[in-house]
This record gives sequence, C-alpha cells and structure tokens, in this order.
Amino acid sequence: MSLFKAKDYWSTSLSSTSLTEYDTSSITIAELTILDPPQPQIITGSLEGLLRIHVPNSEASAKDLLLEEDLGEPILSLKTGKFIPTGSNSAASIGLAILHPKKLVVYEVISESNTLSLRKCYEHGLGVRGKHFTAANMCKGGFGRDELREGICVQSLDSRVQIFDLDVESFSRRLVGGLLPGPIVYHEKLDAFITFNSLLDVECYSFSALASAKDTNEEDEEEDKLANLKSPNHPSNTSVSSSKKVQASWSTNLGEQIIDIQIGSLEGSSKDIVCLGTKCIFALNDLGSIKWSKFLGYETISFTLFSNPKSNNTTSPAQNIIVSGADGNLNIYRSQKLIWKAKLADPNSFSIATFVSDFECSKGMITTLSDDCRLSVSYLGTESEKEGQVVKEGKEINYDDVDEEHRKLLGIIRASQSDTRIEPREKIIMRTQVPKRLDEPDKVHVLDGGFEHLAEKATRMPCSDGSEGILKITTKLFLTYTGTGTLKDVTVTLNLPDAVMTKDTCIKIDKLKGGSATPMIIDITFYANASVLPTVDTVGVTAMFFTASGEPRTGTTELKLPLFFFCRLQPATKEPTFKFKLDTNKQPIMLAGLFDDMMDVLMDEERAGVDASGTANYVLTFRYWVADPNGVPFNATVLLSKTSGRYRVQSHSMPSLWFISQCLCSRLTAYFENSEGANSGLELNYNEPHLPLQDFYNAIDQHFWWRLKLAENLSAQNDCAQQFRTIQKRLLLRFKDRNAVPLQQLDVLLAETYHKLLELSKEVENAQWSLKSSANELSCTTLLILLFIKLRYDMSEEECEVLSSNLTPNVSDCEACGWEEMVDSGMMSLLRTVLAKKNQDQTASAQGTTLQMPQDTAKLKKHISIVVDRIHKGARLLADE
Amino acid sequence: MPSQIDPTWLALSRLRRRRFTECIDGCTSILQTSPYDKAVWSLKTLALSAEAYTDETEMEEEGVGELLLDDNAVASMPRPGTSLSAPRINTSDQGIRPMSSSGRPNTGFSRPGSSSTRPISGMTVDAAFRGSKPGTSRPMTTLGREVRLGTASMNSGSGKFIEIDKLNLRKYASRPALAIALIDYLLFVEVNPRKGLELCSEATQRANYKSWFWKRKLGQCYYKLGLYRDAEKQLRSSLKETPMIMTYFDLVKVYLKLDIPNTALSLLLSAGEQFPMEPRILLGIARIYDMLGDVENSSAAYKKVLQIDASSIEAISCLASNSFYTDNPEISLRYYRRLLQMGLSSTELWSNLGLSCFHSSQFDMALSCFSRALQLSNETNEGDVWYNIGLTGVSIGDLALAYQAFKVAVSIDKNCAEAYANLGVLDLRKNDWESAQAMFEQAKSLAPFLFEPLYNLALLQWKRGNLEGAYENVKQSLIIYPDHEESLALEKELMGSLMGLR
Repeated sequence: MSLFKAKDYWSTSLSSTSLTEYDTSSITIAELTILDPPQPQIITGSLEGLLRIHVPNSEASAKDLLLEEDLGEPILSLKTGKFIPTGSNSAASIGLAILHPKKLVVYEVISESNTLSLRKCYEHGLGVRGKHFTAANMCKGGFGRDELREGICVQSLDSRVQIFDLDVESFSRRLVGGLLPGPIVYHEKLDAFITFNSLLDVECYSFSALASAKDTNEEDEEEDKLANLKSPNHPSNTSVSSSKKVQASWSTNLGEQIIDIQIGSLEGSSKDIVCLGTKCIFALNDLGSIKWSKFLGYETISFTLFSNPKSNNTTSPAQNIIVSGADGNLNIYRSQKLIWKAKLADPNSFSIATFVSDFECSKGMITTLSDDCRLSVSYLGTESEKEGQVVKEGKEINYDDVDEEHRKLLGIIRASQSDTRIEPREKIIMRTQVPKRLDEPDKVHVLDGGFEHLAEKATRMPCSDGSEGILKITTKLFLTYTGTGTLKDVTVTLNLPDAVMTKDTCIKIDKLKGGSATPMIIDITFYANASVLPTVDTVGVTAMFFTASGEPRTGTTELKLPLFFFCRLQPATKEPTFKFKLDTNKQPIMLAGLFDDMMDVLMDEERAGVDASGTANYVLTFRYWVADPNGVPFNATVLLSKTSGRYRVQSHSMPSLWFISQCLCSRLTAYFENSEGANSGLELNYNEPHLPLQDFYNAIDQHFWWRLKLAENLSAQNDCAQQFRTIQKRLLLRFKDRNAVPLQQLDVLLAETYHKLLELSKEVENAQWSLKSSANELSCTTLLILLFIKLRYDMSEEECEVLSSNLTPNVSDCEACGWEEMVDSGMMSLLRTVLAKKNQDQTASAQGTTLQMPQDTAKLKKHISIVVDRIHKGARLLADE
Repeated sequence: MPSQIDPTWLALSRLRRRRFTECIDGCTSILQTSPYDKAVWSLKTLALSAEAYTDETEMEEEGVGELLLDDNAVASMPRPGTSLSAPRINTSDQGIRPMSSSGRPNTGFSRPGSSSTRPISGMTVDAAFRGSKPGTSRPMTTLGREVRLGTASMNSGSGKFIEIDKLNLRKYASRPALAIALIDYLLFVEVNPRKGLELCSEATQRANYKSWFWKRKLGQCYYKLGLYRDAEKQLRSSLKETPMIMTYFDLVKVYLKLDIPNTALSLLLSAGEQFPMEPRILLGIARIYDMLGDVENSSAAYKKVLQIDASSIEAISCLASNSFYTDNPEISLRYYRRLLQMGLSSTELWSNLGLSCFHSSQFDMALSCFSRALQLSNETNEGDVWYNIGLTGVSIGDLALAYQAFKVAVSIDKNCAEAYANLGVLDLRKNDWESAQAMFEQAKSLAPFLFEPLYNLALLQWKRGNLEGAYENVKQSLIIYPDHEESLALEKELMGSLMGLR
C-alpha cells in the first residue's frame, strides 16, 4: 500500500500483438546520438526482434518514435557504450550493442535532421571456434581498466563467458558456477566481473585472473588441443596455455536467488555491490562481505540505482535505490530507509525494468517498462491513490418511504417482543340449527353394526307403522372458516351430557374451504338415554385445526337440545310428594304459551288429552323417558296460580323436579327479557319455609349406601375369585401329579365357586348400575338444592359458582375419590375460609389431606347444614374486595 | 514468439518476470525432449517453489493438535510476563481493551496466527477447535493443513514432477546446485520436511558443517517437524556462521513456539543492533511486546518502524488502536485516515473510523462510516460492525437501536460474547431478569476470559437472592481482573451476607 501514485508524464504501448514480450534487460536509455534539442533516447528491443527508439515529449504523438526496425532476430539484451573503434570513420561515439541468441552486433546510430538510422559496425558470432553457444546476458565495461573504450562480456546459458574487445574476440572461459547463468556486471574499481551462480553465491572473477586462467572444461581442453594442432596461432590460445584454473577471487553465499546486481555508491564514499534478491536486498563491499541486508517483505522484480539529483556532493553523489515490486509499487530507498513509495499508474501491472534519467522536461524522470509492454515516463506525484472500492450511492433515497418502512418494521419488532399475543384473524365459526320436532323414529335395526350399545340404552318410541323405533333428533352444524385457503384435517368433538348419546363424538373433516365459500353443513343425530335423568340440555361442540404455521387452534359453540327431546307432555296428574312454590313479582304467564314448543310437537289427540278444557294454561305434566326401577316413569308437573305469578312444581320424586324447574326459571327469565327488555326487574323467589335438606340427605345416603354396597360386593367377588383360583391351582397340581391323591370333591367345590362368582358378578353389575342411577338422581337433587339456595338467598352468579364448585353437582364415582369426600372437603374449605367466623383468619387455607371414603355421611350432612345455616345468617361466599 | 529464441533462455527470463505458469510449461516441454537436462530441471524446480512460496517469517496459525497436545512450552506454570499464556496484566487497560475470540487483547492488525494464538487461560477442547473467524474451525495440525494444500496443488497439475520417494538424496547432496533447487521444492511444494531434513543433513555434512545456508534449512526442517530444540541449535549455529536477517526470523519463531517470549525478545533486540534499519525486526519486537500486554514498549517500537518505513500498515493500525484505547480517539482518527489515503478500504477500517469519529464527537461522520462498513462487510465481520453500532446506540441512549443492533450481531456471529453481555444488560433495564441471566450465562460460556458477564451475573444473582451463585461468579471475575473495584465491593458484601447466614 502506498500513499501516492506515480504520475505518468508520457507513455506508449510497445505491444504489437498480445504475445509480445520484453525481457528485463531489453531496454536501455542513452544519448546515442545528439538530437536537437539534445535528449536521451529510450531504446527498446522486443523478443520478436523489433528495435525502437523513443524520445518522450510532453504530448505523446507518433513523432516520439524516432526509429523502428525489425532486426529479424530476437533481441535479448541492449547495451550502449564506447563500443565503436576510434579509428573508424563514424561520427557517433556511442555504440549500441544488441545481443541476439547466437550473435552480438554493434550498431551506430546516425541522425540526419532528427531522423535516425542504424548502421552496423561489426558483428561477432558467439561460440568457441565454430561451436556456437546460446547467449544468456551480457555486461560491458572498460575491461582491464581501459577508460577510452569498453568491452562486452557475453555470458552463455551454460555459464561460459566470452569477452569481446571492440571488433576483436578476446577470450572465452567457463565460470565455476552451476547450472543456470546469473546476472553479471563489471566492477570498474576491482576490474572484475561480479556474477551470481546456482549455488546462491555472489562471485567475483578478476578480469586479469580470468584472462590468464586456463579453461577448466575437459571437453574444451580437448577441443583446444585440437584447435592448437590445427591452427597454432589462434589469438585466444596464448592465454589458455597458462595452467591456472578459473577461480573466483571471492564468493559470498546470500542464501537466496539474486535477480540483479548493480554497482553504485550508496553512501557516497566507496562503490558498493548491490544485489537484489527475491526477498531481500544486499549491499556488499569490495571484498564480498555483506555491509547490510534488508528484508523487503514483497516480491521483487527489478531495481535501479540513481544519483539523487539534489545531492550536493557532486564528486561522488550518494545513490538511491528504486525497487519495483510485484504489487506494482516503486519503493525508493535512501540507503536502508524507505523514503518514498508510489504505485504505478497502471495498477494491474508491475515494472520489469526501471531507469532514472534526465529528460528535457525535468531531471530525474522515472522510465518504466511494465510487464504488459507499456513504456512510460513518470514522476512522483503527490496525488493520492484512488480508493480501492468506490461505494455506489444508488438512487436518491426517499426519506418518507424509509421512515414509513422503519415504522412498520418497528411495529413488527414491538409486536414480537411484547407479551400479549394478538389472536389471529383466521378462525372457525360454528352455528347450529335445531329442528322444531323430533325426527321420524328409526327402526331398531338401523343401529346394527357397531352401535348396538346405543340401541340398548336409547329411548324407544313407536314408529309410524306401529313397530318399535328409536327416538332421535338430527341437528345441523354449520362450519365457516374466515381465513383464506383451505384448511385440512379439522376435528369436531362433541362433549355430551349423560342423558344424550350419539354415534360418534369425534367427526373428522378432510378439507374446509375458507373465505366466502358456503359453510359446510354436518348433520348430527342424537339419541336420548332412557336410563338417565337429564341434568343439562347443552352439547359442547369444539372444532380443532392447525394454522398454516402449525399452531393448533380451536373454535367452540354450544348446541342447545330442545326440551321435547328429553320429555313429553301428558295429561295432568297430581302426585304432590315433592313440591315447591316459585313466586314472581310479575303477571302470570299462561303455561301453554310458555311451553308452546312442547305443545306443538303433540299429535292432535294427545293435545286434546293434555289440554282438556283449556287446563293446559294452568297445569302441565312432563314425562321423562326415564322410569324408576319399578317401571313408573318420572313425571314433573307445573301448576300456575290463576291470580298471581306463583308457580308450583311438583313430582313424586325429587330428582325429576330439577330439569323442569330449571326450564321454567330460564324460560320465565327469557320471556320477560324478550317482552320487557333486559332490566325487566323479574324476581324469582323460592317460597317455602325450609330448604328440603332432609330429602337431599336421603339422596346422599342412598348414593352412599350403594357405594358401600358396591364396595362390599367387590370385596366378596374378590374373595370368591381368590378361592376359585386356589381351587383351580390345587386341581391342576393333582392333574399333573403322577400318583395323584383323590379329588375329595374339589371339582364340586370349583363348580359351586364358579356359580357363586357369576352371581356375585351380576350383583356387582347391578350395584354399579344402581350406583349410577343413584348418582344421576343425586346430581339432579344437588342441582335442585343449588337452585333453591340461589333463589332463596338471592345469590349472584359468581357466588353461585363458588358454591356449586364446592357442592358439586357433578357426581362421578371413581375408586380414587367419591362424591361424598369431595363435597365434604369443599364444605370444610368453605367453612375455614369465606364462611369462617369473624374472629378467625379468613384466608387460612385448607390443609391438604388425602381424601378417603368416610365411614358414614353424618359428618358431611352436618357440614352442609352448617354451610346452609351460615348462608342463611347472611354470610356471603365472596370475600369483599 | 519467434523460434530463434532458446526455450531455456525464455523460461529463465519468464521466471525473472514472475510468469511462473508459462515458465513451468516451457520447462515441461523441454524436459519431454531432453529429460536429463539438469539446468532445465533445476529451473522448473525453482519456478515451482517460487510459485508455491509462502512467507514463513510470519507466525502461522496453530492447529488443534498443537494447542491441545503442546508440551513444548518451557514452563507449565509460567510467571506473569514470561510466557505468552501469562502476559503481564496491565490493569489499567483491562476494562477497556476488547479481546479477540481467543481472549487476547486486540492489537489493531490481523496478522497470521496473531488473532488465534494460544488463549490466555483455560484451554478447553471446545475453544481449541474454534477458529479465529466465526463459523470456522482450526486445522487439526499446522502441518496437516500444508500437506492438504500440497496435495491439492499437485493434483491440479499433470502428474508429479519429482517422485520424491525415489530420489537418491545422497546423490543430489553431492551436487549442490541441484540440492539448493530441490530443498525449496521439498519444503514449499511437496511440504515434506522429513525428506528435506535428510537432504539438509547430507548437504551440511558435505559442506563440512560450515554452510550457514544448509544449517538454516536444517533448522527450518526441524521446526516444521516440531523438533524445536534441534531447530534452535541449528539456527543458532547458522547465525554464528553468518548472521542473516531471515535466520533471526526463523529462530524467533522457534522461541515463540517454545513459549519463551523474553528470549525471543532479547534475540530480536540483539538482531536490531546488528540490523538497525530493519523494520521487520522492530515489528517483531513490537508484536512480542503486544502479546505480552506491554503497550508502551510496543507503541514505541511501532513508532520506530514508521520512521524507517512510513508505509507500514501494521504499525499504523496498531498505533491507531493503541491510541484509541488510551483515550486519544482524535489521534487514532488521523492514523486511520492515513490508512484510508493509502488506498485501504475494508469493513474493519471503516468501522474503526466510525468509532474514532464517534468518540471524538464527530457524530455526523460516525454513522456514515458505519454504513460504509456495512456496505463492504461480509458474513465474517458484519457481526462486529453491528456490535459497534450497538455500542454507539448505548452511548447515545437509543436503547431500542442498541438492542436491535446487538440482536443482529448475535444473529450473524453467534459467538459474539460481548453482544450477549450487552443484551443482558439491556434486558435488565427492561426488568426481564430471566432473559438477562440467560444472556450472561451464554456470554460466560462463549468467552470465559471476559469478566464483565461474570460480574453482571453475580450482581444479578445477588439481587435475586442467589448468594452462593453470586459469590462463585464474582470469584471468577476477580480471578480474571483482580483489581476490578465493583467486583471487590460485591465480594465484600457477599462475604458479609454469607457470614451472617452462618
């Protein structure tokens, strides 16, 4: 990296084809001929054999090329010097020596009114006595300290040197060196050649020693002998006769390949031998010891020494070094210090030869020949290097758009960071439609094939043809998907109450189209359970699906089954075993109107029976599909006082009161809300002096008794089964025994036990069934009691919920935990917390105990009584905030 | 090209002009006609070695094998300041100067091996495998990588040039010119230091144990084989014969491998007396001072380098970062601008410029510098730029920007422990304690040499009542940075609480 760039003053391209190449020594600068005005000329010779002479001018033009001549042979090296014999009649003092692979030619350049032409002075064929060698490079100098003329030393590829003194060949010697020829220079002060060999040594061969040495090559010796025999007067033979071997006067190992050697005075005093290696640069003194060396840190290509133009010491000016690196930089050193670094104008190439010379325009211009054949004269400008990468600015930025986008992105980021999730818009909306009457009953055998258990329990009803059929109702479920696209694999699940049955509680939908497509319609057929009293009339419907991103989502709705699905009207009966009065503060509503849907489904003759002489307005009897164990169907009758808004509900069994009472209450509320608006001020009051707690307790006892009974039966069954297995085992033992003892009536015992086991199992089944039906009754009773408490003490919905979650109407009996202990624990927690006496800590939490089946129900009853008592005394179930 | 040119001469000329491929092709075609031409053979060998040459004066990256199974270090429990794994801890510096991924203070210049020299403490297998750049891994061994490269480059050519297994090295050693060409080929192209060693020892023997060149090569071969003590002996002997700069570099490498930086330093200082104008020696001195955490001496050495070689990028960038971390952002800004003028344009430079601008209150320049940095970035350094933007965000109080920038940083470079630590602090500000704790834990596991996440974690745990965890973490923080005031205060507080509990 350099701070500055070399500034081109003049440049031209020397390549005629893409294959044109120049060697590092195929350029030189000299004043071959005197021009007007006097200027040094740049002489280049390509490997194709084109010789060119340029004179740079401030504006590059065709006039700069003074000479172009094809010499027909590759030009390996160019040297200028005093090569022209003084005796010849030539005007020029400076000759141009051109090295071709097989010959050396010296030309003089003649200028006629700034037009140059070449004239060949003399030519040497290379090689010893007709045996040619291939030239590698050459050097020149006043060999033998001759100041008037200069000789040329050509080195061959196999390290043989041949020395020419003007137009005479002096001698030829093989150097000790190795395989490949290294650079060679002539050191005037030492009168010696400095060269580099393949052993990484810089060697010094003194000219005089070389001249007087004997050629070492045996082959050559033989040749020489032969030559001596043939022509004893050969000029070169005089020196060969001496028996000295060619030997370097000194050699120094530099440890790396040396690219170029030059002689110069770096410190101004003495001449140094400067050697450029591939990694380092070395300065050697006259005796070959290293004065200094410097690690350059880049790949070197070529270098040159030049006199500092501003140096004051004119006699022996200190010279600077320019090293050109493979990274295209020119590094200028004064002694060992880097004083300037400049990048070449052409950034993709590097200089293979560098010169510094004084042109007309200015002193100290740098001439470089780059590897892609570009000749340029430049100076060290202070223009800084262009930025490596120019960043594209692109088009004008619209800041409003950017702001808008930023806001949008910020919104997204904030939404993803905040805790509250936004519900996705895509959802399933469900709607239900319930018919006005029951379906035509199915034949029993319709349910054959997997659904016999339904047929067994389902309520029967005569078909139109008089045969026995099954009561059913078919409702419609509409599914709409609000999102776009199609949903796959939607699952609709039905949550049924005990009294309702259907074929399949789980419906799979493969595809559900979204958007504005018509909703999907599913028919669901319900059957009524003939053994269970209804508790609630709603079926929960849940649709589950996965969004495109794989999130599970659900949609829910409730399906309210009509009253006529659970019971029907029948002519009024009066069986006032259980009854209660319900007061309202409004005008009485005719019952036939209130239950008009029930009236509508009746056949005409039935209707006449129910509404005999218009009594239907004041008394209605509902009959459930369920019958008690004695076969008497459960009924409930609603009576209306003719004068005031007082209703009485009565029945022969307490559980059957619940469903109708609940219907009555909800219908009254709905009626007045419809007719008088939401704030109708309707008040419903339970108008009896006491709550029917005793009856509730009886239901609890009955349920509990059946639990005990079931446990007893199970234990008996367990014992019996144990006995059965033991007898079996003994029998098997005897069966296997070779010498078996007599059976001793074990077979009879086994049969007896088996029968007993069967009997017990039947009893268990009965007990289970009874427990179930008693649980159903208890559930209804509990609901009824909760309704009474709510009406009597005018409880809010929230309070009612607290109570019902403790006094749960959901009677489910499993082995782990029964209803009694659950409710007892609920009552205890109520008594300990919200219903605690004032001085007690109301927030004390109930201690966690494992629930166990109690011995009897006395404690439970007592606790329920206390709770009701406290509520009666005005305690509230919701702690005041 | 005209046919009159001798192909051997042309190949030689092209080698000089660094046209290696053409040179090698030329040699190959000559060798096809005359396979026993020794000159051409040696020329081709030279060209191949020059093409494959790598500057080995720099420290190479160490492999996993070297890090984990390193038994060359002289002292296993070195005193502070005598080993690269126990640099002199400059306490005034520790809170400010960031660390590289292996837990060394950043030096401002990414040189081979420097960013991933041996981590300061607690070398784990996990850390050993992690490369210097995100998402890279270390080579198994240094030599392993070279061997792989060597075979790859040979396969691209047409068959092997030299069947080294069939070479009669004794014969070659008797021909020094061929041996010299061959040794570089063995070391750089074939990467077979074992054969090289054979050749070197034969050649040294032939040179009557007098050749500094062969002794140096012998040392290089021993070094490559991991026989550092033998390498030292040979290199020392070579230096005694003829002191050369390159030999000094080789010997310094050996000393650094042996983890005796002070010896390396004294060697370099004595070499500096011999070669007073050699910038590379001064650079070496500065680097060792850097590695030992001695900023003042390294800065002085870098300044000397600049006096000799004003365009040394390494010296400028290291001085820039040194002055930045010693609270002179204006001066470092000038250094970085100089680098920019020298034609350097990289993400790191723009990012550093941005930071220097920001800290010298040139806010308008800072952000445009960062955007430049982002435009030039690639996935290996984009994370760092975002981290710097995040720091800027924290400094100007735009915490939302900071949070997002840190998030982007960790999304690009999942090993950016500092970004995790800062995210943790920002999470704390948002009262998101769980997330903050997770961030600190992550930072702690990624960079066990940072004391900030440890201290922050300790503080968080102390506030949440986890006294024991807090105590453990604050202890670790104090091991890394014994003079950290806040950690000391917290430790005292915790000690009090724990004593009280007992």
